[in-house]
Amino acid sequence: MPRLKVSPTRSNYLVIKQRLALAREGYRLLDKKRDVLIMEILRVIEDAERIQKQVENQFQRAYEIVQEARAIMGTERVRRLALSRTEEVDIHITPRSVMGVVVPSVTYVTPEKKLRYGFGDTSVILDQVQQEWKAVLDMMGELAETVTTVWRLATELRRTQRRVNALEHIFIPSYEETLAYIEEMLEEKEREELFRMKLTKTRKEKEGSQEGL
Amino acid sequence: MSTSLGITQYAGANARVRGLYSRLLDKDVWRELLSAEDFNAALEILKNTHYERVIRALEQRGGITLEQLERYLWGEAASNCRKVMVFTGGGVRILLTVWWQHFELENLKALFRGLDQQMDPNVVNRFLIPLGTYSTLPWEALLHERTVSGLIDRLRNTHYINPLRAAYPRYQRERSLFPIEVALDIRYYRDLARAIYRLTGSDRLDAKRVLGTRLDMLNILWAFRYRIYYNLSAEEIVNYTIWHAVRTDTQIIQEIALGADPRDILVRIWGEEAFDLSQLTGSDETRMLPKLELLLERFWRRLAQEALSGYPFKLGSLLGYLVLNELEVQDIVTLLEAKGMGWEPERIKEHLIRSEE
Repeated sequence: MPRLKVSPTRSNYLVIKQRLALAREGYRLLDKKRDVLIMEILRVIEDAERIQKQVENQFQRAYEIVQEARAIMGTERVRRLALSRTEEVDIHITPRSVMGVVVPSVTYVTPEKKLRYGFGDTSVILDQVQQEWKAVLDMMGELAETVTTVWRLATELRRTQRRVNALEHIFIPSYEETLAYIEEMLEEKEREELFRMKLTKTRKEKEGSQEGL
Repeated sequence: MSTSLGITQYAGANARVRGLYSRLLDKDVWRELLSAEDFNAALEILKNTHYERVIRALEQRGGITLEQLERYLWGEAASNCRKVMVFTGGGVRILLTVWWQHFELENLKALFRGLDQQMDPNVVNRFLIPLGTYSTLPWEALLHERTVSGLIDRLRNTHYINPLRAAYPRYQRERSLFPIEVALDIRYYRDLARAIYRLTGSDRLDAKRVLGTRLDMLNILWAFRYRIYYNLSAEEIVNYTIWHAVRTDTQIIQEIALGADPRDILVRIWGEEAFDLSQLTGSDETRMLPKLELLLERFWRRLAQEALSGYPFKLGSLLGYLVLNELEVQDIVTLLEAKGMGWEPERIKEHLIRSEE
């Protein structure tokens, strides 16, 4: 990993050393965060798979029952019934935090089964249509919550993993190499300084002894 | 006032009914329809029947959609009812007029639904069964009303006004059309019951047998639907049904509301031999109800067919034909829808009211 382009000075050494300590601490924390996110995702993903399967099955049942209604009553009559007023749904979304990731907590109140049409021109099958589609709606809150949670946690996990990788493979090695380089250069400078001092001392001693003669 | 028609008066009506009855589809045509490859193939088969007129008229208007065809088939059934009525008078005419009005009522409900949702009148108009000049309601004016109260006001000089005025305050409170629709339905079927009981002698017997059975069927089905799908209380269920039909009354309705089994109710009202109760197996009432509905409709069809047999100059022949005609339209709609969805013949047969093949 390439070292940083810095001058090999003591002050730079101290700065890089501090950065390395920070990077190592950051790595430690992010590594922990990654583990927690993985555990949380594994936990929620089971729920998400379950609810997704339930919703798929319920959608299939609901569409099949609409087909039955079309066959028994005729599309025209079913559409004439569909002119009736639809009910509004009450949705409350409360944010909560999982390892700093904001995920929704969805409270979804479907209207209670209400009589919306007279029975004079309708078949029993229409009541079943209403029942099956209400069951679909009842599941949508939980589905929205779990799928959104999984998606957001997965996004955060990806981001965390990228940071962990960057720290582990780029920044920390780079800082370590830079520190090693600076240490080497500083040592080299010290050795040179020591050698120069010895040389100067030897020269001075020689000059001194020659004057004494 | 005489409420029965003499033999000579029934002769005209009977001749008309015989002519119309001969146009109903026979077993061979039904077999062909069931075996048709798809919707278009079924349509081609229908072009060789008296329904050809309806199909060609739609083709000339620029192509057929299933929804249009359904609407026009119902319009044809309504028109056939008027064709029979022309030869009647007195109490019989009143009865047939009330019976015919269920087409008008269906249109009126579509109007209320569209208006409640502030839909474009042209869109709502496309949902109305074509009744031609037979309906005396001012449909153009009704379509262009902008409020439910305005629509009710327009109907002030009709027999619909009383139930509408009574139901309107609750509609305003609950913002639901259910009070209006149920009020119209109950008023309609009470009028039908009244028209039946206005008749005397064999006319009354025939009317009770054919149309009275319809009242009883609906009473039973409505009561079960209110209990099973909507968990209404016994008081509410009694309130939203027809109090005095022919064989069903508030006592039976209360028993249904309190949990009576559908099979027990059928045996109690029509006897053990009337139905094949093995078709109502299982304890899941929500699954049983659609089968109950089909069982009752098939029973009604058998009664209508029987009413056409024997001595011809009677009210039973007229009513029998009218019921068979409407049930045939319902079966054609079922078949065409099923062919459009690619259903196999065996699956289609399970949903047809006509079940002798």
